[in-house]
Amino acid sequence: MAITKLRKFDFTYLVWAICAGLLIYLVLSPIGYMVYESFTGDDGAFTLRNYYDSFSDPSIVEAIYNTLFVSAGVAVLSMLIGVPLAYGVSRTNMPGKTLVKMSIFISMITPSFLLSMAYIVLAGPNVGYANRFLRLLFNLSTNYGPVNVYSLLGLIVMSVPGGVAYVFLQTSPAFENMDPSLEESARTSGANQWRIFRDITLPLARPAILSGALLAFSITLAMYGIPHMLNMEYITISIRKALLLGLDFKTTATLSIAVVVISMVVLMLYRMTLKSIKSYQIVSGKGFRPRVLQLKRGRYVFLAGGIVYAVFAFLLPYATLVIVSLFKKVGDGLTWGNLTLTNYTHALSLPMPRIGFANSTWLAVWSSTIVVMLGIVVGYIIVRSKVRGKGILDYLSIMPLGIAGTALAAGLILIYLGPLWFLPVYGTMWILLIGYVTRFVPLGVRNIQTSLMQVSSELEEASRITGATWGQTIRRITIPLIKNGVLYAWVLVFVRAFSELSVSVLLRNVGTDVVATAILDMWDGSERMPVAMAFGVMLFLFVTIVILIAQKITGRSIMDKVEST
Amino acid sequence: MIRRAKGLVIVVTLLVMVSVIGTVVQAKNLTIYYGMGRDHFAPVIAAFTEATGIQVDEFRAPTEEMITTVELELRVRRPKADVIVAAEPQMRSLQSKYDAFLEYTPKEQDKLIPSMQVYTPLYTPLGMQLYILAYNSNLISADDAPKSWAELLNPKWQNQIAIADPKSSASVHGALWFVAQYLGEEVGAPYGWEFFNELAKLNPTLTSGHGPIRDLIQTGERPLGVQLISSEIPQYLAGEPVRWNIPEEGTPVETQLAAIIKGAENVEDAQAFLDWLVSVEGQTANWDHAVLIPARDDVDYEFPDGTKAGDYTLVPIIAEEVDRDLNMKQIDEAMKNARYN
Repeated sequence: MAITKLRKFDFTYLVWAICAGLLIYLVLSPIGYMVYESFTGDDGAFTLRNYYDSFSDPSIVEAIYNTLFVSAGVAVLSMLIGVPLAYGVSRTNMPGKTLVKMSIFISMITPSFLLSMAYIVLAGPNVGYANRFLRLLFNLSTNYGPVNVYSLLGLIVMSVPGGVAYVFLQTSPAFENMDPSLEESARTSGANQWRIFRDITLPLARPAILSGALLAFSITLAMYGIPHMLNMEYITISIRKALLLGLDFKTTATLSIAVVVISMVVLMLYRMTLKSIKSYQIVSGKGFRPRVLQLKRGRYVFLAGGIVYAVFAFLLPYATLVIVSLFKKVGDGLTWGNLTLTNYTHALSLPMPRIGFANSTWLAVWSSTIVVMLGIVVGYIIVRSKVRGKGILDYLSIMPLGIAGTALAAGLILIYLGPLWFLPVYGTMWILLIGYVTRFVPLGVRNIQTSLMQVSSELEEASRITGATWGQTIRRITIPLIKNGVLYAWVLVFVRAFSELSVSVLLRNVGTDVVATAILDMWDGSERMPVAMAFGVMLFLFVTIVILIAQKITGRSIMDKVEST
Repeated sequence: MIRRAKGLVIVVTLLVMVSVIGTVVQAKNLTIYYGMGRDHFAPVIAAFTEATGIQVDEFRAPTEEMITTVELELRVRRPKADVIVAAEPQMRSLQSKYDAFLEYTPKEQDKLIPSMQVYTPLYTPLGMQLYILAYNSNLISADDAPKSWAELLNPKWQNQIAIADPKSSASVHGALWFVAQYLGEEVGAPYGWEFFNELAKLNPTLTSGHGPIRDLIQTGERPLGVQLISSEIPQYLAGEPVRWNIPEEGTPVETQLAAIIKGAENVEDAQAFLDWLVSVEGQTANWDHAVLIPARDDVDYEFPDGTKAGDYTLVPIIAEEVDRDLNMKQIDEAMKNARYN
């Protein structure tokens, strides 16, 4: 009787409860504690004083202004560049599609601080190579500029390649999977291609474009590496300064909550636009095949745009990284006699990069594994189950997208030095692992959700009808069908976790430096610039090798399966 | 079935291996926290390990950040460091707030020069560093290069200067104290805080520390820097185009100190480290790697031009007078006023 009751019990609710509990602990507890800290004084009484003090500090006001200005600028520019690129790749016969896709993918996996290292050398206003070239080209008499990387515009330009990638990844599938019947009707009625694009294609793709722009805004809002390297006022820098330079828990909490609130508003708008985008299934056999435009000379315009993007997004910065990493003496510049490989061997001989590499590998492997396992369970409940309250799980799993890494890290420090001080987590690898898992949960859940949505439920229903249990169906039908999506999610989280900076820079302690903080340490003066760049190049090569191995295992190009959250 | 089992075994083995790697890197040894450049102090620690066999775990962060990490750990009464190494003002601040340090008199304390002996038994002096005006010799000639603090205010240095940001760097507070307070009171104009208001109009770059100043000077992006001599001597010896002047008005001298944290787990090893630091071998290593002017006069050193610290006008920083909050606020305001006026 008891066994029969047990067999009839719907374990989905139990699994739901466990997942919800875990996500509440990971996501809501640091945020909740920061809300408490921000609204209470030293005596624990409710107060708005912290907000008043923080937002009347001129340097914080400047940081907020800079952050919003740069984020909006990146979102707008990313749309202006990303949408034409996505259209060209998805809907035209432009040459160079592989170059564009490769540039987009490299922009996704490149840590932003590596790009900024290169651009500081290229676009330094006094002697940056780009400025020297422009002065020569246009016969300018000035010794300063015309380009100044140490400016808000410089910050925007360095952040745009990443933003373009997000817009591209949202709009490209929208263009590819658009119902062609509306465009065909317009064509039949006599509309020219520009009119069709303006009045049909673009409005249909508007939700995808907006969601890409919102993602670009959100990611830029939360960035840390580039403003740190430029020593510019930015909200994430202010959070770190308040905590690590001022030990001001109240200001830290207040600024973190401000960032979370702005990001949550953006996230809500993003989810609203996502609901307007039709999801699609491929495994069941249905799909759209939109018309590919056979352009004549127009396709070379798209090619030119793609080449310009590729040059600024990765060719120029990586070439700069590699060249400077080969300098014997920085002061002698680019000459044949000044090139050497010893910066690479020196970087490998240092204990800190080796410790960083080992720690990053440990963190990346474990956080990817945990995130993917959580993603399978949570994704399945959201997509397949009829559990009431699964929407809560959906929202909890996507919330970390709206939490800047530094804000999350600050919350973890406050909570593990505050109410949970008895847990020996602060200053160890465990706090980093908690931060990484929390940060990357959306990647795992979202990508596996998408894979599940591409698999028709008919196949699972057929399995259940023929007598298989729920567990057998998951094991023998569902997971094999989504295994490439699972592997892709694992690789994506691994790549992001391996080069993570914004959480790590606050949480690192003795013996817990990671690759990104090791590079930052080198850049901040612990080693010469060429050594820092050599280690940056090695980081990029390692990440690329991991992706190539993953492609070999899955048998297909990861670039074709690129998804964003 | 067999292939699946093999795959599972491989995955589990990899996870276990990775876990072991993660565990190995966290082994606990004598733990030293410091704020100096890693390229300066890591070799000193390595020399200590070679001499004594004592293994060391090190944590390095910009000094202000390192000190805050120590404060966070002291607040929860779980200090991880055994020894802290930092500049005098920061060490005194830690001691006054938390009564953080254990008294210990190193074995050869009596061999230190008298002005260094006053720091014991609470602190152990490593050595001294002083501020210079460093420049890229490919871009600025020796005649043109500023030879005094006052010459820095020449308008021809617009967009050419780099200086450390007091919000990140600990050492620069000494330089700010010297020019704003010491020279401001002893001499008057153009020194005092007005000096920095005028300097801000020349659009200097504020850097997170002295390492970036070194890189900015070498690349020529900011060919003139308010810099620590310890950051530039190794570059000069490596053949980089850097030279410097020690300002005619004088320059502040900062003492780097070490101390044992109360509650340290490895007190004996920590004491051995302090003993070694003041020994001839330790003082030689401090000069050779960290370019700290020795705290004993039986350890020989000289600057690349053959001079020594005593040939210049040096002013020891009075740590009690260094107001970090005031320095940060004044520089912030000076830079904002210059930007918006």
